[in-house]
This record gives sequence, C-alpha cells and structure tokens, in this order.
Amino acid sequence: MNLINILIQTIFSQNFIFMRFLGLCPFFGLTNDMESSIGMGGAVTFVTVMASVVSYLVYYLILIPLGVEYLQTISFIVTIAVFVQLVEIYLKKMIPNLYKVMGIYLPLITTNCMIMGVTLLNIQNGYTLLETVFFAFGSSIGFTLAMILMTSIRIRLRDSKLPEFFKGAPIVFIAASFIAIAFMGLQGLGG
Amino acid sequence: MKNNLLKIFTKGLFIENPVFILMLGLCSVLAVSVSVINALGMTLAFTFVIVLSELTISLIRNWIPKTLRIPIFIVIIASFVTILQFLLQAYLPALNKSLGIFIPLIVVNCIIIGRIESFASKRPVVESILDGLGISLGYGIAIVLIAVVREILGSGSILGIQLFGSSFQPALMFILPPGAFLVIGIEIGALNAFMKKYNKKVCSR
Amino acid sequence: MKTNPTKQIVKLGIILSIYCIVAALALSVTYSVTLPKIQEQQRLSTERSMKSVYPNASSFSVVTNENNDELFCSIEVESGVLIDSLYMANDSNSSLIGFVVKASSQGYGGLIMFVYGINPDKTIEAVSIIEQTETPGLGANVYKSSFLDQFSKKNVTDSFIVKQDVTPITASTITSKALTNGIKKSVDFLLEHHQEMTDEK
Repeated sequence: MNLINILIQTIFSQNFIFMRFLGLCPFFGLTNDMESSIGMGGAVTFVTVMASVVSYLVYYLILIPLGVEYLQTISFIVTIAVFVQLVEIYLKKMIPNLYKVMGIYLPLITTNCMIMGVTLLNIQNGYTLLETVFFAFGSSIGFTLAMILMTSIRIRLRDSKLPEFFKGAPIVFIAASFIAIAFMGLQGLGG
Repeated sequence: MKNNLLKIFTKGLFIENPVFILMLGLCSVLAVSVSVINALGMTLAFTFVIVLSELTISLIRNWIPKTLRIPIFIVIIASFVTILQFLLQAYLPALNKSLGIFIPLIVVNCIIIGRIESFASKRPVVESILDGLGISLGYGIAIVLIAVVREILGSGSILGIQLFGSSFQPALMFILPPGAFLVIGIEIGALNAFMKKYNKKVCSR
Repeated sequence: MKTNPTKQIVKLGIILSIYCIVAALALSVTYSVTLPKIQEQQRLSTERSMKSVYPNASSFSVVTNENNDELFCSIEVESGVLIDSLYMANDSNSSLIGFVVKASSQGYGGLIMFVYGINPDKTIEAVSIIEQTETPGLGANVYKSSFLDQFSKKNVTDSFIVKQDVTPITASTITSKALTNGIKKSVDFLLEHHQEMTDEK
C-alpha cells in the first residue's frame, strides 16, 4: 500500500516539476517537440532508477560503514556522472538504435537536478531499497508526464496570437503556472 | 584593460543574466524565492560556490586534461558545496534548514558548470573571480526580484516584517508553486517589453 | 588515445584519483574543524526546544534501563512515526517534573521532528517543532503557537483526531494529521511502558 502511495504522490500530488521545482532545465529547454521530450523522459527514467539504486548502495554499504556520511553530496554526483558515462558507452556499443534516440540527452542528464534530488531525498526520507526504486520510478514518470503536457501546450502556443513580449519563455512559465494549479488540486492523493 | 574587467563583471547583471535571459539554474530560483531572506541566503551560498570554484579551476586550468575536465569540474564544485554545508551547519543552522535540499543541489546548478566550462577554464584568475561575482549578482538580482513580489503578495510581509494589518488575507497562491511560475513569467515578459522599448535585442527561446 | 590506449587510461585514472584524493583531504580537514561546532549547534537546538517545553526544568537526562542503556532509542512505533529518545525533566531539587519525548513523523514534505512533554498526570505539557520541511506558508505554519497551543494540557487519552478534537492548520490537513498522529502514536506506545518508568522512580 505504501509503495502505491509513493507512486501516486511522486507522479501527481508531489510532482517533481510542478510541486518541487526539480528538473526544470530540460522542462523549459527541451519541450519544443514531442519526440525529444519523450526521449528525454525515457533517458531520465532509466538513469534515475539505476542511479538511485547505485547511490543507495553506495550510501549504506560504503559511506555509513566508513563513517563518512558527509561525503554524500560528492559521492552521489560522481556516481551519477560515472553511471551516465557507462550507460553512454554501453548503449553506443550494444544497442545503437536506442543510443540514437537517447544518446544526445545523456550528457545533459548529469546536471539534471531531479536525479540528484531523487537520490538525496531517498536517503533523507529513510526509504528502503524497494521504496527507493518506487520513488525513483514514480518521480521519473511524473517528470515524463510533465514534459509531455508541456510539449502539447507549446505546440499549440506556436500558432496563437500573443503580445510580442510574452512570446517564448514568459508564456511557457505562465502556462506552467496553470498546470501547477491543476496539479495542486490533486493534493492529498496518496495520503 | 580596466574597461574590459568592468565589462566581464557587468555582463552577468543584465545582458547575460543567468536567470532572466539564459534561463539556467531555475530550480533553486523558483524553490527558495518564497521569502526575501531565503533568496538572500541562497545568493550568498551560490556566490560562495561559484567564486571559489571559478578561482580554483582558473588556477589549475593548465593541469586539467581535456578528456577529464567535466569529472574534475564536478569534483571541485561538489567539494566546495560540501564545505559550504559544513560551514552552514556550524554557523548558520537556521539558513541551512530553510534552504534544505537546495544546498547540495548547487552541485548540479547548470550556471556554475556552464561558467566554468565556457569561462574559468580558459581565463586568468582575476577575470574568473569577477565573472563569478558578476554572475552571482545577476542571480541575486533575479531571485530577489521574484522573492519580493512573492513575499509581499503571498505572505503580506517583506523580510519577515508584516506590511498590512492582521485582517489582511495574503494570496497564498504566490508562495505556492503556481505563483512562482506566474511571477517569473510575468517578470521576464516585463523585462522583454522594457528591453524592446530601449531597442536592445533580447535573446529568448 | 591513439598511441597506447591502456597507458593513456592509466594516466588519466591516476590524474583523476589525485584530484579526488586532494578533494577528500580538503573535506575531511574542514569536517574535523567544523564538527565540534556542528554538534554543539545540534545539541543546542534540541536543548532549546526541550527548554521551551519545560522552562522551569534545570536538567534533562536520557531515560535508561538497569544496564545504563538508552531505553527508547530510534524506535519505530508505526510506519513513519519514530521515537528518537525519551528524557526526564528534573527541576533544581532533582525531582521529576515530566518526561520529554523527542520524536519524528512523516509529514507532507519530509520528516517533522518535534519534542513534547508528558506530565505525570498524563497530560501533554507543550509541543515544540525542532525541524520541518513542509510547504512554506501552509504546512510550515506547523510551528506556530496558534496550532501547537491546542495540545497544551490535553489529556493523552483523548482521541487526537484531526477535525474532531484537533483543529488543523488552514489547508494543511496532511501536516496537521502527521503531527497529531505522531504525538498520539508515540504517547500510546510510551504509556504501555510508562508504568515501569514510574516504578523506577
């Protein structure tokens, strides 16, 4: 039950983009067309889940036994960076088709604050390994959902008449504000 | 020469403002701009990390192999962030608590890694420090401008001092996430209008 | 990487390790310098919140069993509710004024850490928040006396149900429930052991 709650919370009521402000760079930078936003969503999902598991293991199997919990920030970012690098090498060699779709987003992912945020929150909330997986998966699905929503709006915005100075970024922020209001209506879901 | 240094410092304030124009590092800007105090604290934290990282990398820029530059940048930034965490916990625990997870997340702030990659790793120390200071000031101006509006409308106060009588009901929405998006959207729109009036070209996506 | 790839990789690896070692050294030095100060701050903040519950108490001591081990140390009472430790508050004549419970409960945005006092007559003395990460402007108002004062002098056998005998913070039912539930569940747990605690005295 708790696991399902985590999923619902991370996708809707505590959506990382709209409620927690994490992962905004790709949200504003890459939501111009559907293909790249779905590609980014897929890449983020994969890396977030794997990086959460790895950083969880790093924290509980290396940092705690050695009594160096304060190295959390540095070891997590290095873990994510190394992991992204490995995924890139692996995909390039083994699954070139998938690499073609996801490859260009991988370097951008290292500095995606959502992934770092998820790994830190897993520890902060004291999750178990299974909860960590669900939390990471739910947040990435929530991220992908936000990307797709924003892209569909931006495609329509392109042809609409707007005051000159609201074109581009400002109207995207205002649209995000309205989606966030809708998401606030889901607060309380999942306990 | 002097003119050049001044230019490096001032470009971050307006023409290349990291938040309003380049739209980088938005996560922390939107999340901590609920109050002006938090905004100032975040600016301080950000300044500490970017100036020291730019300084260090500029000093050792000739000893960084090209293929390893990104991991080395990250290690250096993360070290300064961790040092900042220690200092905050020891001397400003209240600020550390109110900024919470956004302190460790300075590591992945795209502004810092962007400035290091495009500036500090190629330029001498003095210029790099000035660049860091200028960018921080630009970041600070943006985050405080957003925080002022959100705090006045959302909590009816400024720097924690109540502005209106106790019967005043603040518009809660402004301290909630939707308000953050709305305020930054309108402020960038206003800035665009202002720039247009003065016939400056604004880069917007 | 054209001439001798293995040699090149080893060289790069060594360079990266040197950077990491230097960074780790710098960090451990700062850590050891700031550690006493950090611990001092944490102790102060716990002490300050315990003092705010029992301003007249002159000392707080951890409740221990016969082997001098802490009786309640990080006990998960229920999913999300944790009793961190239990203290006795004594006045200057070292007679017992009440017990201080340090506990945490899963709120909306993270853990809410709080302390509260239980009087010997089984009423709550006061509640004080140590740390919280709730939504600013909404759940974060949990620390305000307008919400916390309703727990003072409340009988621990009350039902502690939000919207019945506990008035929630405006638009923050989850936070209100988290704190209320955290108090009730930890009190219930301690009450079962309260008898032996008073016997020891």
